Order: sequence, then C-alpha cells, then structure tokens
Amino acid sequence: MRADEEAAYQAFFARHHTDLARLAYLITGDPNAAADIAADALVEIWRHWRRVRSTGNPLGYARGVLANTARGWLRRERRERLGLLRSRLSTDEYRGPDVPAVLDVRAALRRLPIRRRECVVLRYAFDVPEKEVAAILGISVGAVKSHTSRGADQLATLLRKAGTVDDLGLLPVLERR
Amino acid sequence: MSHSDDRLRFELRHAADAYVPDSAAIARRAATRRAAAARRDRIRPAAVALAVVAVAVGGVVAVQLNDSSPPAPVAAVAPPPAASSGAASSAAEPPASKRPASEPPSTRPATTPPTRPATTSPGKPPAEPELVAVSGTVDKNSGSNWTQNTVTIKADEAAWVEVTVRVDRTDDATRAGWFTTVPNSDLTFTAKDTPDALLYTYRLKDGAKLRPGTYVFAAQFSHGPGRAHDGDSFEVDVRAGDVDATSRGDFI
Repeated sequence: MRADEEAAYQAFFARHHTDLARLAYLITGDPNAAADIAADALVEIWRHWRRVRSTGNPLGYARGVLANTARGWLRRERRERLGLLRSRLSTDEYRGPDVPAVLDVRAALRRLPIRRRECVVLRYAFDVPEKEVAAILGISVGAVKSHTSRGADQLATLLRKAGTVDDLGLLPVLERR
Repeated sequence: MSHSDDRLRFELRHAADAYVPDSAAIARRAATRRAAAARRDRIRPAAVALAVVAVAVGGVVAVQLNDSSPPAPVAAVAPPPAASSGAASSAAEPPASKRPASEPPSTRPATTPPTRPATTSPGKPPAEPELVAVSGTVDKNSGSNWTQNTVTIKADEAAWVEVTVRVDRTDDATRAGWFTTVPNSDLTFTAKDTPDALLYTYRLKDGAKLRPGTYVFAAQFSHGPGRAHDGDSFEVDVRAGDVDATSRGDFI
C-alpha cells in the first residue's frame, strides 16, 4: 500500500472504528465481541482498501462487511447456546416467568430476527438511508422498508411491555422455528 | 416520523452511545490480524517481517514488529466455512457485488489443501505479537493555564525512535519545559517554534536503542485559560530490526 493510501486508511480507522464497534454491539449485544468484530471488519477493509476507497463510500462497504462478520458470530454463538440449552434451561436470559421487569433496548433487540434487527439499527441508530441499507445488506429497498417497519413495531411493543412479564418468556430460538 | 419512531430513535442512539469500545484493544487486534492477512495475501515477499500500524482515536497506535503468528497462513484468519450451517448460511453470504474478489469462493476446488486450525500448528506455540504501542495523553496534572502532553511508548523489543510533539500556538501557548524517561545521554532534544506551532523533538542518537520497556516523552507549555488541545498532535518514527514505521496521533 502506498503511503497516502495507508494514511487515508488510518484516518478512516480513527474516524469510524467506534461507530463500527457500536453497530456490532447493537447487532450482537455483546461488548467484547463487538470490539473484535469491528477490528476484523477493519482488517478486511484494509485488505481491499484501494477498491473500497474507489467505491466512494468506504463506510457503507465497511458496514456491510461488519454486518456479515456479526452474523457469523451470532450463528456460532447460537449454536453454542443451543448446546447449552439442551442440557440446562436456566441461563439468565431465558429464565421465563421471572424475566427482569425492565427490558432494555439491547435485550429487546436480541429478540428481533436478525434482518429486522439490522435494518432497525442501521435506520434508527445510525440514520443510514434505506437505499444504502439495501446495498449494505444485499437486499431490496422494499425488503428494507418491510423489515424496518416490522422491526420497529416489534421493538416498540417489546419496550412497552417491559413492565409486564407476559410474552417475554419466549425464547428467540423458538420464535425462529 | 411518528412520535414512537422518535422515541425509538432516541433509545437506539442512546444504547449505541452508551457503549464505548476499547480503542486500544481494537487497534491491537487489527494490527495483529493485518500482519497475518499480509502474509496470507503474500503482499510482498520481503514484507514478512511487516510493520503494521493501526491508529485509533485517542492516539493509540500499535506497530507490529515481528512475524509471531503460527505458520498457518490460511487458517489463522480464514473465515468460518460458510456451508456448515445449512440454510442459515445462504442468508449470511455477502452480496455478490460486495464480496471482495480475492476472497476464496465458498466452493473451493478439491485440490486446495485443507486449512489447518491455528491451534494445531507444530513447533513453537504462537507467541504474543511483539508490538511498539504508542499513545498520547494530556497529563492529569494539567490545569487551566498549564498543560503537559505526554507520549508513552511501550516497546516489546529494542527500537530506535524519534518523537515529535506538535503544540498548536493557540491561546498564547508558550514553551515551559520537557522531560523524558530515556537517559539523556542517548538522546538529542530539539525545540523549534514555528509561527503555528511549538515543536518538541526527542531523537535517539544513532546507534542508541530503547530497551524493551515503557518510556515517557513529555512536552510542557503554559497558555491562556480554557485552551482546547484538539490541534495538538504527535508523530513517532520507529525503527526496529528491518522495520520502519511512522505513527501519528492526538492527545486525549
């Protein structure tokens, strides 16, 4: 890489690593994983920096790489959790009737199917335009609209219900079946 | 946007901002992985002992100096095989238009040697990467009329360095003093005032090297009350082994 390209990459890294980590945090709900995912996505960006830069929207590209990385992490984590659930149904998050009274945004997000979660987070937390969300996630603008609208409704409902205990005992893994 | 949309937006932004990632950890992991990726991509045969620099906000810079990863150039950083989780994996594939062309396609030719998990590599166990980590901080004893900008260098191996601290000449900034924990006999200090900035340069003499350890380079100055330090910066040139690297950062 040439020196000016390296400098541009470093500036990109400095400017965006926090927001990329925050995106990973809202998608995964895991602060440690979020930092690792952001670092790995930034390395991918560096490997293809010349092309990424020529797209004119390196941040959009980086968000796409990050969303893929986060999804891979969630798949692995879910497999591990399923293994755990088979042996013991008592982890904090899945306590059933005695779910904590306050369901925070992070916990509520985790209950959204992944596409809805990605769309809601990109649109609402990061103000990414619908067309760009579509490019980032590799889906149509129509799909973005529908996922966002359903995801926002579901999230609002979950947050409203946070004071009650009904409906919250459902496992996300069961919802997806 | 409806009222509930506004509320949702507020809550999501609040949740995002509440998370402050560890910039140093991100820089460190990125630096290590860049070295591994560079080896895997065979960017330059001569660059095996590659200097890898990653900058993070707050002036944390990590320079990887050695080739410490296990000799498993593909497995060390290969993404998980996409085909292993059935239907779920198709949704996770990056869109074709976005997928970097040099990434291996998910259907590899049968002749591709199997990747080897990094943990099973023979020989010496994977060592911690050797890094020269550079950070810039505003000393906590700084006050409304006096500031110390401090560059801290943590070297895992012997290194020659030149550190330059640039202080913006805003709010009547005036040079007050400097010090370093490097022995003065190994060092040349130069003060230079330009119309825009006060420059503090700490240069190791030819042939001198920092031994592994942590070193401080301090630049002190007085100024008018309430001076912002956004314009201050540092630059560090590092030479270790065959590696030359330059790091830049700000003071936080």
